[in-house]
Amino acid sequence: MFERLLSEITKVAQQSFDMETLSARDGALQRLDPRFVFLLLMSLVVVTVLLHSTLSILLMIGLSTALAAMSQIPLRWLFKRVWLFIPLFTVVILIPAMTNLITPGHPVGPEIELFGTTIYFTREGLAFAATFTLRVGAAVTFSILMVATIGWSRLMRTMAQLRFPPALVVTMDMTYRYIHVLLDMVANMFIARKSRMVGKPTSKELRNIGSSVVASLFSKSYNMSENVYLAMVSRGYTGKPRLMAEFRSGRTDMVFAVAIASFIFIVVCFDLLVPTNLHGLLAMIGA
Amino acid sequence: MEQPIISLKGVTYKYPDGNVALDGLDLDINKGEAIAIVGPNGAGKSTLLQIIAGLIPISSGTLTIMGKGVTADNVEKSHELEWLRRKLGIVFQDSDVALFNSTAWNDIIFGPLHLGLPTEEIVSRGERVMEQLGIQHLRDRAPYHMSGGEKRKVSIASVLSLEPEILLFDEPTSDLDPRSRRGIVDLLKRMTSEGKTVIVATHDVNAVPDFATRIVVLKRRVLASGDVRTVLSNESLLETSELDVPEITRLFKVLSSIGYTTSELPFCIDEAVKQIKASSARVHVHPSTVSNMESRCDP
Repeated sequence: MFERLLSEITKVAQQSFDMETLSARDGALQRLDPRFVFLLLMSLVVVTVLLHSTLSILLMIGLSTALAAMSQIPLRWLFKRVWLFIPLFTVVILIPAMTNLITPGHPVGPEIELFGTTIYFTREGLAFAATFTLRVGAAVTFSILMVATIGWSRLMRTMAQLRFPPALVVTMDMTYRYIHVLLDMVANMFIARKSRMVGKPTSKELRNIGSSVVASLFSKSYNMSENVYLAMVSRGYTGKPRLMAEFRSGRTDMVFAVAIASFIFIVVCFDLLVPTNLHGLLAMIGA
Repeated sequence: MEQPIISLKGVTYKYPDGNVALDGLDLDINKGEAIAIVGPNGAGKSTLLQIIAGLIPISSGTLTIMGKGVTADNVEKSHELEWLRRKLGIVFQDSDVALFNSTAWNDIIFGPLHLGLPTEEIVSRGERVMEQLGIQHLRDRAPYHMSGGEKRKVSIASVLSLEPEILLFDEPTSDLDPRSRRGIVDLLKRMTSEGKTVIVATHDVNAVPDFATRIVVLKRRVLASGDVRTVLSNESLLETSELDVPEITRLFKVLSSIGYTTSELPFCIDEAVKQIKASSARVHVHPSTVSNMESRCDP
């Protein structure tokens, strides 16, 4: 249990370190004004979510892959984060939508009788699930690209300069900052416990340890929050957070903006003209 | 006679649970002084610094800083103490408390930004203090990717960017490696030589003679106040206040017990070097005395 917890804590720290390292690389998106990258990737997320056609979504996945490659983001790292987990989660959520209960259509696979109702997967339902999964995956890829190429601290400064409410930005920034401090505290508390234990703890002992760590962490984090507030007040904070604007756009940003806007325009036009889902697409090509 | 820059008269502070942290404390601090506040755990050192910084309200007594009164009322309304934030900076003991932003740069400019200074001035101050402390390479680094010494330097930079006349440090050398500790002591000396008023709460008696012009011994109230030599030579006071003399002084005490003669005990390396250079005494040590010395050096 201790090992698993410590390994999870290490993973969180490693992930944040990965993000910081990737954002420092000399890639295409890293070189651009982060405000522009933020707006670009946000608009790509929105467009992806609104697309109907599977083929259009596949084009967006292609774009996300190309942007990742141009930004020196390891594709294996990216795909592992997106395509290993998202299909699992979405498939579980979409199981009812794959059946004739939610999406009527042509039966696929075995039929089950349950409480006098025949339940089966439909071709239309499976096609919907596939399109939905691809859409979520593409949108998440763009979001990961945003954090990986801008980096957390620049992302916060970007949001500040884009006039997001300062209270929101400061709260997000401090939350991210102190998650690491609190994880360190938890890891140290567990290591201290482990160093004083002999043999494998029983489940009752583990519950006791868990609850005492939670109580201790609560008390420490409460004290820390009071001291952080005093540190902020001592440096002029009076309840209204202020943030400094610092980024400037250049010609490269404009060229990139035009290229991406053109791509989005083509994909949206394409989306309006071709069949809406995988089922329609398969029917169109005669499969 | 010049008025003290900070004056505390009969200051008492009670915690919300009723425990008394400071009890009728009287203390005057003059401009340009470098004061070490020493005392055992729970003596009220950190509380005293937070009171002087106008962060927590006193329960009774009076606090005057640069001729202006700091009352419990205007501590509650923090915007009323903007003048104090411009004149006084406090470096907290825990760097994780002081570094609440995601990068060193954001922490360093936090103070000037919140005091409403113009952007050019904020950037100029930020860059200046980073250069002063040699931490330009940490500019965009997140605090969780910094060592203890780096975090301490950034937290000091985040206060120096306010360009305060009075600097308060809470245990600045604790948990640091020897090199970082030396760097902080040098910085304290530099601040003092620049004419700033420096007040340091510390357990590190070895560092005190290096920078302090006066020692204040605290145990809920001021037990003693005086120059380094006077206070650290008072053995009964050190006993009462659970303090010890610096390591170098202990060494010379042991040496004097085996025949090394000095005009007066040194309290820091510089004084010891002067003593050795000035002294014509030579020690001829018998082996039995060496074993006696070893036992005296045992902690």
